Amino acid sequence: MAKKKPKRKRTKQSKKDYSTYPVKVLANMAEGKLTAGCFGQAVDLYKKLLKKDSSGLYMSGINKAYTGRILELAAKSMYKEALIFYQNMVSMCGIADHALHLTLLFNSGRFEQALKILPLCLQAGSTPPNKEIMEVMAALLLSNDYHDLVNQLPAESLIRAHYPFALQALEEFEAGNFAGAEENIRKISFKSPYKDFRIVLQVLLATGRGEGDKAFALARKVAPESPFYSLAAPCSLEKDSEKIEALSKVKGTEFDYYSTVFNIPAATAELVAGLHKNAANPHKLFECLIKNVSAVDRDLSRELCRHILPYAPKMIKRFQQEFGPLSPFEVNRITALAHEVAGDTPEAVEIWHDALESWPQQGKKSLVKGAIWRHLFHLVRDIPDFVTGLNKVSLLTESLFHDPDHKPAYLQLFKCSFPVRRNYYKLVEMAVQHFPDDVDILLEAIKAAVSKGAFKKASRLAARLLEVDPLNIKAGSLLIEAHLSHGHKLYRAGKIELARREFKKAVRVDCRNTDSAFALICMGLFTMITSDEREGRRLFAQGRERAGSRAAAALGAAIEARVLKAPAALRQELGKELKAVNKTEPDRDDIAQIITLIKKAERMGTNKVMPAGSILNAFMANAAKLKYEEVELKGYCDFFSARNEYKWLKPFAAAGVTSYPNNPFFTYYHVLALTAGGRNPLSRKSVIRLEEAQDLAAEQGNCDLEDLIDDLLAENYYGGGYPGRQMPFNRDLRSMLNSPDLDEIIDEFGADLERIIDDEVEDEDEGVPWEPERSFVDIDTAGEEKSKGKGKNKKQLDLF
Amino acid sequence: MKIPFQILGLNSDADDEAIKNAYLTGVKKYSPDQHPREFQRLRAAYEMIKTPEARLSFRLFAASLPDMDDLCDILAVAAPADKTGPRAGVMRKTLRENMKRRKLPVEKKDG
Repeated sequence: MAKKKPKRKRTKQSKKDYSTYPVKVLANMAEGKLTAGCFGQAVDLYKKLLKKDSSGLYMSGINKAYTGRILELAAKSMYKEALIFYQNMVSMCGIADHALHLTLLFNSGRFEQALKILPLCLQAGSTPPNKEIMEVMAALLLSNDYHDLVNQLPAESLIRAHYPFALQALEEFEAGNFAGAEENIRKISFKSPYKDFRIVLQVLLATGRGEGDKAFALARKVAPESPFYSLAAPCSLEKDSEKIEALSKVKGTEFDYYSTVFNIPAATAELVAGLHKNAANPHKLFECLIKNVSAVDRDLSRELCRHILPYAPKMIKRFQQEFGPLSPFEVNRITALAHEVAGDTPEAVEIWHDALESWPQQGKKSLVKGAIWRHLFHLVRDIPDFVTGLNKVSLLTESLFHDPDHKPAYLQLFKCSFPVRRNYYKLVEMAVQHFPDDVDILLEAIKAAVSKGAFKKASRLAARLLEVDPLNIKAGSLLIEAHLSHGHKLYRAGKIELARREFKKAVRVDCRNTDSAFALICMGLFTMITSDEREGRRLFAQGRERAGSRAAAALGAAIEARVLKAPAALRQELGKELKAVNKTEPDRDDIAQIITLIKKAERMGTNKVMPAGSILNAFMANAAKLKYEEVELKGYCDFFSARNEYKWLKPFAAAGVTSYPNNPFFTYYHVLALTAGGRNPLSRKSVIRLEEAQDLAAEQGNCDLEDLIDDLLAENYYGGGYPGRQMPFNRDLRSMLNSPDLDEIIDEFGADLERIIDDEVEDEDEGVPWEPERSFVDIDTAGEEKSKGKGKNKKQLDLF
Repeated sequence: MKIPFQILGLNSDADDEAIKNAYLTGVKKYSPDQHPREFQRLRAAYEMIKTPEARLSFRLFAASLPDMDDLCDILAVAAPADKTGPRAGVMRKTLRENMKRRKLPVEKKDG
């Protein structure tokens, strides 16, 4: 046990005995203390001095000492002590300062006594109190029934003369007699200490009459230091949010006053103020709502509680007590949302499944179930399937099973199933049958047909899309692409005339300039190669002119020449043209058109883009020096990075680093380009830059970029093997690996893995693929089953 | 926005047509030029529940704590107080409270 410190004994300081001091010495000492600002000691010394010499010689000094001490105490808010000194000063020196006395009395809360002093202050001969004191006294008089004290004030003083009008106006207003109130306030002059009260009543009258703007303007005229400001303050608030903020700050009588001025029932005011005060605490919010359930409509309270429940799931019972029982589905729904709020996605998914099971209409198609399946998809969309154990395609398929008309689910499904082309094509087919005239579905169908090489079908679908939506720019563009691609295919097969027909169709499509320009360039080149060189050159020149961008036109021509395997002379001529572009000044439109052209060529399945494009390296480097918006520049970097075009990425990323240093993406892209996508080793400087970018990304909450940087560092680090500041890819995985229960987790994982393998083996035995039940894996097998005559899965297909 | 049905003055089982009608009636009353805040509130409520799918999402997945906008919505749908202006004695009480908190500057005029 720690030893107690021995208490220090206080030694009583022996008081000096001044009785033996000569008067002069005492006088010097007192004056010295007074000059030094030690008023308390000066008072004591003067008192001693007065005992020895009562001639009145030191009266001025003691007065100064007392005054100094009073002010000193008042500055420390010790008004009661100051009052004692004041009284001593008066009794000792006989000099009264009524204004000071009044102030001390008022500040000590002795209002009645203060008002009794007021007539003395107003007497002729004494220093009149300042404007502020008079206004405060006027407010004090109005705040209570001090009629007797009013009568003691000088009859000619404004504070007495205007008091009856102010009081009458107040009473008339509170009684709802606006005209009477107005009549009385008119009698209060602008020199009166009640002048601010006059404005306050005008404000309240305007508010009562619904003249909000007038009230607002008048309320601003009352200065915050006015004693009547507290009455005008609520009227100076214009927005509801300001009113709620104010309500949450005031209490008691003031709260009552504010709510009545705002014309809000007290219970509602209490509710909103309570909700505002407890904004961060769901349980308190819930309690506040339940406590004030009568303040607003019951349905409204229920609705608000329902929203809060996922944040306070422990309150479910309380909710049921107040609003009646909840169905098992509702309880599951709220619990699942509570887990989502807590960030526990796996548990949320589990409970959503329970909710699906507890939905009353089992076995039937249900929009609710469809919505929940879609919700599950959105919950896990950014998590790899093997982590959640859920198949995203299967989740969307389930949702479409219950809600087959949900187009966005189809569109999402297209994206998810795109890697498995066979399923993707079937899905697109089904979607077109389900939504034959839908623009988005038709667009996707065209893309699918093009990627499949079914150009004839693509052009048919594009024509249909143009019928449905004649102004659709994308439709025209896709139609041109379909015809051109078909033309290329026929040309490669040696069917020159059929190819010509397709090129002609492409030229005939009515669409925007850049698309038709490309069609003309292709047609021109085709004509030059296959038949009439002069006519071909004419078409080619027309196309180049229409393109607007010389660079894009030259690149388009160079790509097409390679696709059509043009004669060497022509290719050389076009190559020269492309090289000449390097000497021209680029503009932003050039870059936009080049990007569009590359995308177009990619959609058409051309792999000749970059061999031709690489000639433009110098042009692109110049283009990077132009001024771009941050989003635009990042978009270009994304584009070049996705295509491993590091020579183009480098200048654009460098421009991004210079122009937007707070965007860590540009640093990442710049280093990526410098290392040619991680093929070259990282320099020490690059590692430092990447780590700084990673820190910045972490600050900005950009986990994806953090992981990208981790990957780049991990796979490409000088000196062999980057130790890694953080595990790449998954934060949960990272925390799992740091967990003390790692062995247990590994065992569990092993058991799960065994179970999965066993299940798969069983599935193989039965000849049926593994989960998902209604996924498009089933759709594939449906055909096989059908051919076997079993037709077991046909039902599932028909459901779509 | 947590109380779109209440903002539009509808029951929670209202259909597309009822919702649209309520919205249009509201817009007639609160035009965007004269009542921008009220119009914005109406618009937000309408957008939230105008389609069956939106209503379903709202019913199934809406979960959030009330923010300032919600509190303003509550004020907007709450019935106004019975009487306009402060009740008798409230103003004087407020003044009295204010007096208790107020302090006058202590100064000596003649130095």
